[in-house]
Amino acid sequence: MSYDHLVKSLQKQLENWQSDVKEETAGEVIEVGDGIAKVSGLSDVMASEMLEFETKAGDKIYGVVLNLEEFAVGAIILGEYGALKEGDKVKRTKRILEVPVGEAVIGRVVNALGQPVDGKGNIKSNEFYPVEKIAPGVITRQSVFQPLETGIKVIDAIIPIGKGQRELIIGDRQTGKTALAIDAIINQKGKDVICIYVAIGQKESKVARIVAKLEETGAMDYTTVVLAGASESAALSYIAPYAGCSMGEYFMDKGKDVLVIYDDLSKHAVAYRQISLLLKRPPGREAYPGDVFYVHSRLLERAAKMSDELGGGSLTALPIIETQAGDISAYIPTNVISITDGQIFLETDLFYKGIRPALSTGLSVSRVGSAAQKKAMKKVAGKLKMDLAQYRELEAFAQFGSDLDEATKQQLDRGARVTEILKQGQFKPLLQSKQISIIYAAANGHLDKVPVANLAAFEQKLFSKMEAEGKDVLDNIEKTGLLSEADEQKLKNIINDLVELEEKVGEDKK
Amino acid sequence: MKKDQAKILAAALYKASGDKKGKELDKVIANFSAYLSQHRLVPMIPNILGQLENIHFLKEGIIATKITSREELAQAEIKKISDLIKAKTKKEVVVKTEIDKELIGGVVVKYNDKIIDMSIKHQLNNLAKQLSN
Repeated sequence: MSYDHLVKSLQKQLENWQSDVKEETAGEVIEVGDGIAKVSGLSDVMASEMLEFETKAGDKIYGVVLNLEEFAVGAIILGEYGALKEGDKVKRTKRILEVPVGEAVIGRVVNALGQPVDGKGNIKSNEFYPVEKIAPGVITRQSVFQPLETGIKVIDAIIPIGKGQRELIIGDRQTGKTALAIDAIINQKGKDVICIYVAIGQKESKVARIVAKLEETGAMDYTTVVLAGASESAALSYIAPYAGCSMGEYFMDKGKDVLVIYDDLSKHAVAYRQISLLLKRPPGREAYPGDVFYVHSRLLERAAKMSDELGGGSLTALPIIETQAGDISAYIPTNVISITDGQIFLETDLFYKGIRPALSTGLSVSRVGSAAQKKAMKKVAGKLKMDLAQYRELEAFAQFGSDLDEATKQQLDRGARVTEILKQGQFKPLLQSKQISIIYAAANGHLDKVPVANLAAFEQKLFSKMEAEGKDVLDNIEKTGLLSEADEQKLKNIINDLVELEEKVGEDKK
Repeated sequence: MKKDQAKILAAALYKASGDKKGKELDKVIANFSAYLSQHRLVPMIPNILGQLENIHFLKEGIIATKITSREELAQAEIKKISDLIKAKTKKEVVVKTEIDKELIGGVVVKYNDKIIDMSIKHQLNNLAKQLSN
């Protein structure tokens, strides 16, 4: 490159440059600490507007206005606030906080501001969505009617989730809440559902493990991970779920189906409590501020099934709440339970009994999902629910064993078998058709003669036999969602053949 | 409390002196000084004076303007700027000047919470930002 060329190209670039002198509104930092700044001046700033802090070294840090007071403005600082000092200049940006959205964010790991943290380069997106958005109104919605298949037998059969529903996953630590959510993401492969996993205050090691798993299973091709780690400031944890929701809303507006997982909202509430207390807002129950309910309700209300005129997109939300010692009547759990359309309750006792997923069938409900279940699943799962309910009632008597009458004993046997076949390994989501075939076998009593210990092996044999001999049955269920008479007969025959074989093997062993 | 103390004291003094003149005003000032020394508040005097000025400007509807430049400005130039702000805000303007060698050139005008940055330094920063994009 010659000297002349350099000068010319510089001249060319400078041609368009205009020194735009504008009157700006500026303020000064009065007080800073714990991720919160008090700013004087800025008399015409908007609520939740982005602010630009300029440190003495000339670095720029962004913040968001939360409090508008008589003589000052309270703002949260997004990012490192160590360099910020009293007296630093603060400028208005006249923009509400927004994040990049669009195809470019798919397959990426981003922070709460939409900046990449996976080292795969910049995100090139021309579209931005505000982080805080008012939820779709009544007229723009329609009722939930399609199933969102999680691939987990017990959920798809007993507490089905519909597209556009909000289903809470609640339980103590180490009960498999995240595992359930990750399985649901993995199962969306090839189903044209965009997934967004929002990690709020999670250990970075855990998130790294999740991302690796998603990459391994190919789920990262349609998933975005929004990360606000435990080491980052509370402000970012507070923003993260709204940012993730905005990224999902973009696809919903485009008529696509989206699944958003908030892991977890109890840490989000804690982050918001910290911010509120530092802003000197009065504490309420459990020291949470008065508007902590609204914080969650306005987030979860953004889950919706849009009407057909608006493209028919949907945003399904799976918030996660961690309870302390199984206490679901604490403040945040009761709040979120009342906001959502049902909850999946995971219990430590069940988990250690080996029933995994450790789902408590008594306390878990889905308030809208059953309208969205496939016809075939509805048909077989109805009996299953009854069996489980009766089993729960009689379970206490199970220890009396031989003293029971025949009918009770039979119900107990059935219940034990149903519980056994509802167990499922981690990262092994199942197709609906396969789920239906094994549940059909259990609910109709075909498995009553198979020993409980052999059921897991029997399930595998059934699946391979179905794939070999009953492929058309599986395909029909997947395609039509119905279990026709002919298919049912064929399924029954295959199950009976296997059961007979199982019995023969059992006798031979004796 | 400590933070607002200067403000409170200044407000009290402003109210007490009100429209008093001559001897009466001297008495108020003497009392106030005695109060300050009694309560060991003498180091706060610069703060109190600053606040007193603010209160006065607020009451009288005067706008304090600060003009920062690299070299000392001529009276005519200052007059021009203050007239401009007077026309903009339709209020009385009091001008303070400050010298900052780092500006390279141009001026920065500050009034209320508004800034008009016409310094060369700011424009160079802008240019750098545009070129790096």
